[in-house]
Amino acid sequence: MRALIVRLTRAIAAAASFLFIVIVAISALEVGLRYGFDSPTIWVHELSIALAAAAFTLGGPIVHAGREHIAITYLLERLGTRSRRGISALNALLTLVFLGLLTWASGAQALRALDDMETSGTALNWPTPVALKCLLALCCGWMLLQTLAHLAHDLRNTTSGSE
Amino acid sequence: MSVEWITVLMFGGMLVLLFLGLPLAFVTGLIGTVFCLFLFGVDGLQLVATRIYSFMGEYALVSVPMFVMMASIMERCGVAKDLFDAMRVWAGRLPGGLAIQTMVAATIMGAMTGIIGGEIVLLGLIALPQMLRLGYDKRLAIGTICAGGSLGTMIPPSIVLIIYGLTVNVSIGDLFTANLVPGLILSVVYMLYILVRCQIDPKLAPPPPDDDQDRSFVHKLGLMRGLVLPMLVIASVLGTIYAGIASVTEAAAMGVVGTMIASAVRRELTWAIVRDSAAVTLRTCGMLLWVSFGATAMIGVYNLAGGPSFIRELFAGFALSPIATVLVMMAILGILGCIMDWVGICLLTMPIFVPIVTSLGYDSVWFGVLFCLNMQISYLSPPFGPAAFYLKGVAPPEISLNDIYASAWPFIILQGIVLALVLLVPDVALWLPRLNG
Repeated sequence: MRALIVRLTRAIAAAASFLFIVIVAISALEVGLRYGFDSPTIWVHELSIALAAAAFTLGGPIVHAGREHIAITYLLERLGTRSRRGISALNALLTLVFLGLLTWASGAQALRALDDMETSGTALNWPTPVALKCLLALCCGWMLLQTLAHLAHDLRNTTSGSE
Repeated sequence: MSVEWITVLMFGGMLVLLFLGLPLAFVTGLIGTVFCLFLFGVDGLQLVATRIYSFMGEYALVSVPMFVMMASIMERCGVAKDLFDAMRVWAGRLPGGLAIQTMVAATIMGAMTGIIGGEIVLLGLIALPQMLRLGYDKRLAIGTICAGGSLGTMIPPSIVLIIYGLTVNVSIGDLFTANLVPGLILSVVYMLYILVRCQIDPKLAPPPPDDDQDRSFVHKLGLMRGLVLPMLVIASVLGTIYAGIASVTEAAAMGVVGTMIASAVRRELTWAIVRDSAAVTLRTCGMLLWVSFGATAMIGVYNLAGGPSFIRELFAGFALSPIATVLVMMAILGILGCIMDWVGICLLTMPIFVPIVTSLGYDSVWFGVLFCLNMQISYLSPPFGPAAFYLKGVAPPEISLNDIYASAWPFIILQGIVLALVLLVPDVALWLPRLNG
């Protein structure tokens, strides 16, 4: 199960980072078409924003997978093992509260967008808002599950006495 | 609940949670969502989701991953090493020559990149062992690398300025232009400091052995050859932004293309480099953006609770002179810089500070330069000093984090001096953008 999740996360990370390469390619295309052929596109701008937003959103759970979100561990590292474990568990609970509330809020936002099939309201009128709002809700939920998995992993280590 | 109590509880709570080691993104996000729930009820939580969603929709934000990726490709090629070697031309027999050479290379790398991290790691791998081998004073060598490597966000392009520009809605092009001269002044001040200290006490920086110095001029010129293309990339990226030909995002994307072409010409470009660079970009942006999401949630709730007008009245109540008000703000930024990441600081404080500053008749571009200088200090100041963390990762094991912080303080003082200069003489920053019209 754990191995499957790790592989899935890696695959999604690879796909998400590929989005940046796509942005580079289409931006180069846009500049080439505008200055070379005097025919700028109307879709590069909107698509770049959407792809970047998708990658940023996915970046959250991908970074959280390795517990690499920026934190001040200065104090924590100076504590004894027991207090450190206690505080880590407290932090996990607080993270669960935040992600729980955020998953709920972004989920409600996504459902409303789905109801109206919200579109971007530009010349293209793509349904990007629906897609991004759903993605945000999914990523929040995903991080919630990751936090639970981290917590379970830590507790198991505590009871078995290993570090 | 009164706004005084909300302010105390929100920011006090933030400090406590930060010191407990809860990631910054979750600290600010938690405070934002929980206060939102208590103050505005379940429906109010929508505000948090909406703010996060709309934050992602800015076109200029797309330039952040482009600049990160450009830097990461450049770091993976031999450009940095060549650059460092080529800068030997300038070092010669100057006192502290190798440290000055490092600083020149760091400044040029600062113009190629808009982030810190990679640059410090590279200098830590390339320049630090050379300085230590020559018998340079450990603290001077370490301080040079941390301070020089931090110039990545001071010399434009700079993602600090991009986020500042997005937060307070000023032209990123103007911010880049305004930051150029203060950035270069900072770099020159560092070099003068190294020069003077090594002149006074030559033991700090023993000269290199003679055989190292007697390379022919042609040889030295040869070292420069590989640098021509990377330099052209910098010039074209910044040139198109300053000239207003391309948006910051397009210029950054073309910078990535240019960097790829330059490294392909150098026969160093591989698919693995592109793939790894994109992967690093994703992680870096994932961290940055989620800190931003949390901070934007927290400040959004604080806004609705009437925070900004409370802070404005608080400042007004002290009846400080305008310059003293700015000084107090700088002090607050300095303190926050010791414990927080710059993105969090920018999104939390700037929406409150900048309207106050502009109402006092100051320029928001000038304040952006001050913010950027202040964040230079934040990279070096303990206990949360990102520059120190980056160097610790690659420095020899006998160099501790405490050594690194102990090495940084002379440079923090120099940063303070340049900050004071820009504070007292705003034209240092503002004459160049004015020239641009």
